[in-house]
Amino acid sequence: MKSSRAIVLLLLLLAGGFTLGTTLQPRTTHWTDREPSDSLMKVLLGDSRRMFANHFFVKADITFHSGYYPSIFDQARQAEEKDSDVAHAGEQESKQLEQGFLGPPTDWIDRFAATSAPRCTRIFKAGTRARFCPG
Amino acid sequence: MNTVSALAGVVIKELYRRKDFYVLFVLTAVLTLSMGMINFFNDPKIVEDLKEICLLLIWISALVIALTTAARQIPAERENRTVFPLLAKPVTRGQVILGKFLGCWLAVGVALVVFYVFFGVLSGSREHAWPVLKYVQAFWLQWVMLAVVIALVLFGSVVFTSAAENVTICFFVVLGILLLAGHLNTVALQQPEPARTLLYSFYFVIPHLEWFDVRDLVIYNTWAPVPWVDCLLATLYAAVYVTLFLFAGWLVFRRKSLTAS
Repeated sequence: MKSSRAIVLLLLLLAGGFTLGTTLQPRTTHWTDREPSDSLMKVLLGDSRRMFANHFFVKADITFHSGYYPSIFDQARQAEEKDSDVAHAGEQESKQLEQGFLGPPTDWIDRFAATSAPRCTRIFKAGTRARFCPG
Repeated sequence: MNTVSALAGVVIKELYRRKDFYVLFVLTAVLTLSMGMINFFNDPKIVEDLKEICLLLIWISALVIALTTAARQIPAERENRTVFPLLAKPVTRGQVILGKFLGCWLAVGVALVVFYVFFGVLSGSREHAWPVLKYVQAFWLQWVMLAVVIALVLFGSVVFTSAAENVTICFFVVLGILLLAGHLNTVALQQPEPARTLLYSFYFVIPHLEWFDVRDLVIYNTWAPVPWVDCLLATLYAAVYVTLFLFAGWLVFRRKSLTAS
């Protein structure tokens, strides 16, 4: 095939694509509402971004509490204690709120560490710490 | 046609001998199932989010399979010098290009069927609804879109020297079209003449792969199926670009020296 003929064929195909593109473009807008002007994350993930919201919420909460946050081991222990204390609900609550999620210090090192542990009192109003602090 | 189908058969066999597809499928299944086990905020619409994640993974996996499968076809034949006995047989270079394309497209189609069956079973078991027509349309449009990608990569594999170079360039071109091409018309309208006309023409010249993205159709039950005329037009649109890239690829390949550098 001569190169001039090949170029004409290529241009014809390109023109065909162009024409079909102009016909198809207005139709595609009625298929779904995935707008091209949306953000990159919305184009990729859509509404499933909400599934990652919890993770980022927890990360933000940790930052607001200056890192004073229950680890997965603390959370597991809390869940266990909660299960065992079902029959005596409310008895230990005020004590736990005073001590935080770490529980009572087990030795003098824990007691010393508790004095320098970061608290969230600077972030929240006085008197509401127990309600907002983790644990 | 027998020659082309024989060449295509070799490519399909290559797909199930390699581990790419299995790894991507297991990864997609594990990620989707692990996301499905978690209940966020007791949200009743969580199934839609799960479907969105699963379809995104399917899109990524299918793109990776299409790119890597198509990119290594001709360079591998040249490096292993198997292209010489192949062309010594009554096989033309055009048939090689066509056979490789058909093989890659069918192989990707097989992989896509497996992905969509998994997706259909997963969403059907959660929603207890089976909108088969929408699944078929979403599958078909994605498969047709992948045909354009495969043709583009095959064209790249006769232009660029190494397969890695080809994969990287094609990956960024495809990603750029998928994410940015839809904005070009908006940008064009803000430009003064003649840049506006030029940019708007360029907008219609490039293959719009993002038009084939109808994930919302199967994620949300509110959308009606795509009209069949539109499906046909989209198929024709893809066919034109597939022909364009394959023809351009053949033009380069027929004059290309195959001696190893």
